[in-house]
Amino acid sequence: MKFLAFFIMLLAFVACTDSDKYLHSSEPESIIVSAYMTPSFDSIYERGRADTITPGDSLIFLTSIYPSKSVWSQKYYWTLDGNIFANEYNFKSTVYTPGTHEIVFVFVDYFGDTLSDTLSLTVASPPALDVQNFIPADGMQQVDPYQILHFAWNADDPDSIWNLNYHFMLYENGCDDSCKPLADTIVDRSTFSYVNGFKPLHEYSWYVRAYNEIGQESIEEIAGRFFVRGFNNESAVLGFVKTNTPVDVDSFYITLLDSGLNVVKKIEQRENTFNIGALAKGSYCLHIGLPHFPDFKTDTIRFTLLENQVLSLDTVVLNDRGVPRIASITGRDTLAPEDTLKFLVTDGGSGIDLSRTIARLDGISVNQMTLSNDTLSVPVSIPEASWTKKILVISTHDLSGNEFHKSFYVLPKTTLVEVFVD
Amino acid sequence: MNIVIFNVVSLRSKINRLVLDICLAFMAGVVFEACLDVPNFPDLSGKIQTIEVSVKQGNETYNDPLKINASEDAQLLVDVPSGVDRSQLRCYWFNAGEALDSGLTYDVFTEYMLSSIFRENFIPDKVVLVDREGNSLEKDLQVIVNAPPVLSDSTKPADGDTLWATPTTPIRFSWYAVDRDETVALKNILLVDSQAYNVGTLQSVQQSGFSSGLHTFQVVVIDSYGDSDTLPQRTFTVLDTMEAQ
Repeated sequence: MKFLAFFIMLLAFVACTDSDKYLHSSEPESIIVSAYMTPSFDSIYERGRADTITPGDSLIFLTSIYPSKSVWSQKYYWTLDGNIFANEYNFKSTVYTPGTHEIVFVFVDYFGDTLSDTLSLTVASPPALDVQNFIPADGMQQVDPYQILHFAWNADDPDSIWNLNYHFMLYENGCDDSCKPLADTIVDRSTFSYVNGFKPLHEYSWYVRAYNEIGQESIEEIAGRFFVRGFNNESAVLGFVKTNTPVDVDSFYITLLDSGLNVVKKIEQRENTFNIGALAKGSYCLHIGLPHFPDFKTDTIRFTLLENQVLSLDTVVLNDRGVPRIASITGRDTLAPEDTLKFLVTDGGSGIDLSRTIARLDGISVNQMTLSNDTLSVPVSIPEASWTKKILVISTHDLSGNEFHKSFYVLPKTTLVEVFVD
Repeated sequence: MNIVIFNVVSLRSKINRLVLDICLAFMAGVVFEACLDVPNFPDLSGKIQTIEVSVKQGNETYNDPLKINASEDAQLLVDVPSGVDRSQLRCYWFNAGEALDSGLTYDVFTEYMLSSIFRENFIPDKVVLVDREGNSLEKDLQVIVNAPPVLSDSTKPADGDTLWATPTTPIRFSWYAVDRDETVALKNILLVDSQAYNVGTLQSVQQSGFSSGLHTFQVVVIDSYGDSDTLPQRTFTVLDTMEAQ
């Protein structure tokens, strides 16, 4: 009887509960685990599933678990190439061993099911290049224009596991930007042979960078140059001209004199590189100037050429040594009183502009000056009731910093007598 | 009637005692058995499971691959693990099914490597190891007989040469190396004043940067099996053209 009563009560209790919610709920949500790595939490770094680092670089390893990390689990851990790496959801660590590693996040859920996500991490050091010792040595002269030239260099893979490739480039120096490199190639050995010959009495440059299999580039770059000999023991001098202050140069002239100061060559050309040959061995001096910018000057360059030598003067800098000049349009320093005074302001170098020009009338700055071409207009206000001369000082400096000051006297509009009579 | 009842009880008591005695005897037997000297599991450490063969040449040992430098005598060795009684082993070396020799070592003389005929007939392709009980193990061998590269004595500059040069004048270094087995994979290393330049397959390069005075150079050529030839160090003297002028 008691049992029957208990059974009826149990039925009543079950009927009162919302059992459908539990007994007929939809399929349980499946758990999804994801793993990521990122160099930093900084927003510029993206989370990835594959990455390449150098030994010692730290990475942050992250997990994402759906629906949440509060899902019951038996255990979770990370492995690195099958060995336990960490027992945390998120952590920061590094890997030192070079190679490509498999990093796995393993999650064993409450029911013992194992879920995992795999990351790929490559640890590698960039290749190293010997930038001191290579063939041909930097600055080699007398390269035969018609023979094969062999290049060789020393490289090292610090990890000793990667194959190296090299980006080899060969240029003719003094060629403008439109010139293509003579060689621009990837080679899998640390040598290169150029078979197409060279222009006599010219300078060439070559560059090498190393890359390992995973695309890491060497920090260093080999840079070498060599000079090609001419015929009959001829020599040459070459160089590059630049000004200390940028100006729009349309041409420059070069005068080459021998030891007896006889003009050997006189050249005017548009390019800012020069290559003067074929010359006999001996002592020379060189003058370089800009026809439209006489303020740019260089000291006389003296040099001696040996037989078969191509001498590179590298960069010859023309310095703006001339100061700007200021003169009144009348050519006089004492000026008649006018509302606007006009002056000629000229510079044979880097040039002047209004922002670098000031005028003071009796020590007071003059505003609203204008500069049109080389004419400076200075508006001055000469009081009617003044019989004294005013001093106008105009100062200007060019882009190279060469300064010039000039003082002028501005006559009064009235004389002393006129002032007192009035 | 009382006497009968007593006898039944007495019988039960005897049976119980008998069972107790049997149990005690069994336990004593178990204890006794436990005290016996149980023999160890058979020791298999003295048995050879696999054959390992290596090449010994000079101070070098090679086993993967089995490579012999054809210019030097060598020995093929069966590597016997420590703990194995070598005197109980018999070893036979075979070539094309014919026994060449017996013993744990096989001497490979340079004469065997001079020609392909000798190589095909005197270099073992199988080794068989037999123990005292008559158990045998065999292993197929692939012995590589590698002819090392050979550098010619003729070089530029020649030993003792005097050259006129400025520090920017190129000096051509050239040499010649041959290898009976291969021609393309030779790796050349030029050492100039002890500075090594890995010049790959090149056997002629120009280098500058030599000051006036005595200089040295040397060449090492290495084939793909690591066998090499080294040219004795050569010297050359540079006289500076500019100083002379």
